[in-house]
Amino acid sequence: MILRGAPKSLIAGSVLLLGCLFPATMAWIWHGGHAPFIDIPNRYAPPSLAHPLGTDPFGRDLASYVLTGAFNTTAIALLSVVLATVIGTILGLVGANGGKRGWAVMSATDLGLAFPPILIAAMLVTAQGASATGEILAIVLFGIPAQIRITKQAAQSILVLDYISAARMAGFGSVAVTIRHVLPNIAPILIVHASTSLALAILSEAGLSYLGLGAPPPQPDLGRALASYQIHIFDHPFLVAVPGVTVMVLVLGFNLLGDGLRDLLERPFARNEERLP
Amino acid sequence: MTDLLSVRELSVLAGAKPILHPLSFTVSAGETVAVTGESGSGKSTLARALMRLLPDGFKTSGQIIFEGQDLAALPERDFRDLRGRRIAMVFQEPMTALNPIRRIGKQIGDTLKLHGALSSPDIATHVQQLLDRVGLSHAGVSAQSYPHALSGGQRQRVLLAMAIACKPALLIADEFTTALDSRTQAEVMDLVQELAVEHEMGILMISHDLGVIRRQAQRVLVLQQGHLVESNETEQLFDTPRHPYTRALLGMSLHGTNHPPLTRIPVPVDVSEGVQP
Amino acid sequence: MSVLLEARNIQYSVSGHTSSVFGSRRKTVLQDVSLHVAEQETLGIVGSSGSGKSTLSRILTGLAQPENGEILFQGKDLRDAAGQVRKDIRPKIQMIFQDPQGALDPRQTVRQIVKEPLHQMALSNEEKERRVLEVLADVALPQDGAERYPRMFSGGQRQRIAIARALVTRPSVIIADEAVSALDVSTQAVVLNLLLDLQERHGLSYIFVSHDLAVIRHISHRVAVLDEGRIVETGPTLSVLDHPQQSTTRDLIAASL
Repeated sequence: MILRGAPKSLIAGSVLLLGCLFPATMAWIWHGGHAPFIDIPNRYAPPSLAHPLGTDPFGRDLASYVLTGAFNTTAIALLSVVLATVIGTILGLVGANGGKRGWAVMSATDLGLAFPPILIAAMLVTAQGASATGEILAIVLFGIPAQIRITKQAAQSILVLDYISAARMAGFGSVAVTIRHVLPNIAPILIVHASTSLALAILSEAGLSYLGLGAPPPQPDLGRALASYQIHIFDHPFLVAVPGVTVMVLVLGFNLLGDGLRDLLERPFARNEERLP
Repeated sequence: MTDLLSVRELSVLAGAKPILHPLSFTVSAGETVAVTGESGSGKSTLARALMRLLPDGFKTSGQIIFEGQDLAALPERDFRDLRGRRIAMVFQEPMTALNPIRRIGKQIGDTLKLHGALSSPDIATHVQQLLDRVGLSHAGVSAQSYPHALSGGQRQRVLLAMAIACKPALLIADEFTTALDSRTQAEVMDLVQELAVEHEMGILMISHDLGVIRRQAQRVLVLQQGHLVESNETEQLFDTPRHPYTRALLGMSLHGTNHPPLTRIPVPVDVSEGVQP
Repeated sequence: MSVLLEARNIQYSVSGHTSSVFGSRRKTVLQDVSLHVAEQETLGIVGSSGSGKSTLSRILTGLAQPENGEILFQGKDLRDAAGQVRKDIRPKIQMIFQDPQGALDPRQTVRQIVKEPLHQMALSNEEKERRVLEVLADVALPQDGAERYPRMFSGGQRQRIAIARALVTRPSVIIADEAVSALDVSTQAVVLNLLLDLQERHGLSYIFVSHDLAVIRHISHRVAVLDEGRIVETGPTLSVLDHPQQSTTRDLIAASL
């Protein structure tokens, strides 16, 4: 079996994520990406066969609403992380190769780190109104500097090795050396970082839409679900618990996945050094 | 002369695989004993077993009598107190042993703080004395320096200062000077010898370099694939080796015998690359 | 014997750590270094760390450019040589590195590693594959090792892979930077024997850079002593090492006895 020997955290993370994201995807497809129907007379309904988790203050099916929201939140987080990873990795590699361009990239990174992402999101909302695009932009801008730093550091630890010199002697230029030797060797670090960044991106997405800086209603979203249900924390605590736990499961799932991937990917190649002489 | 360290029937198992077969030896105060052998001989395992630094899955048995008490039977807490204070260890890799972002004076001071009850001004004076003693002050290195500003030899001197800070009775040096060039190597090893005489310190030196061993050690233990095959006074070992493996090792070493230049070195078939663990 | 590779008046410096408002002061690494190696000859370069010997080997292989001075291969200046000539000459100068861990990309197979230097050479793929197998046999590595990864080999075998990579372009001169320093006694003996065999078989020249006088003494015909970026003494190996004229050389000898 493939799972044998796989790190426990990898299995736990995958189970959590599958358990959450598979029904989320189903719900999203079922509702065509929209929020479930509003049915005011039927609000605050207790769990039943028709509504497994009951209904919310607008009479919407809570399970469907939260699952569709989980899908949207994850989709926005995933898109943001992919963008941040691609852009950050390219810039990080430019930075690692040094020279004037590298210096420019690293200086811009330092400057970028000085801007709080929440401020960027608030500015974007003021400029063009709340939208998913603005939210993605904020999360991407937040992720890029860290991605640049991690990529640069990892790449630099490879660039000093002798096989890089050997490749240069063979006539490969900086770009070819990067693609042939640097990227494959830093890929595990990048994959692990992407996975843990996803956990952070989910939190950021939920946080931004909680503050009303995300995609506008009626698009279901975990952050806004929390925001709109929070006034019921005492009379209907279940309403707040469901989206809250969903965020927690997603964050925990991606963190565990990252830990597991770290064990899985970085282990076989570290074994040489670990072996006692 | 009483034995400072007396190892009796020490063996190490990795799972069910024997890494070190039962072996016994002693180290007296002020004496330098070298342990040599090829990769996979178990020499580093021996050092780590003595310091209880073996990873999980390794099982040590036998007695390690140090200053009259059996270390193997000592609870972890008492052992931790002993390690660093009475028994110190220095490694090959100074960059991983030193914290890159702390000044070296602080790092040496930490060792003192951990084991002694010196007041802060006393620590500062003591650190300064240590830096003087290992010849760093002389080279313009101050307690305020960071590790990266030092050369390889200077970093080894910092490690040495940390190791001798509490005036240990036994110093275990695992391939301590291997990464240094011969001149720096000789300087650092000479310093170790001076300190040994000064503090009546026993030294257990792990090295594959027969040249260094011949210069520094009074006695030599030769390990082959986890077996102690020969233990002898240095002079006798080099002049009249008894075990065939010792003879083979000396025969292949450029330091052991005077080979005519530009000729093939005789390599017994059973030794050549058959030393893989 | 005719001169194969020659360095003339090499000058190299790096920008120092201490910079002032007047600009950073440059630290001289190599000063007026001249040396040569003849066909089928081994030149040993000895020096402590900080003597500039690693920089010198990088300059000789073209990995670094000297500020001043010239590198001549069979009398042709490598800087002046036009693109094609340079492309022809570069493969003739190869290098073996010190660290058997860092010298081989852990994610490439032995075949990919050994084939890499042929990248820019005008050879058919069949010819390249044939050469890879040829050099693997040359360094006595099993043929089925070609599809394996470096971590599956011992330290000595990894160094053989590195030697195979240097041989695959059929070079005239190989620069070895501390090539046997990190190895065990027996592995060191085996690799030194292999290098002597290869020299005989292919008529190779070596420039052997090391701090280890015992190694230099064993393998070099001539030796140059490098100290603080200058060559302080040079001559036939035994006459320099047995009758050193300079105090630096005497210190080095005393330290390695």
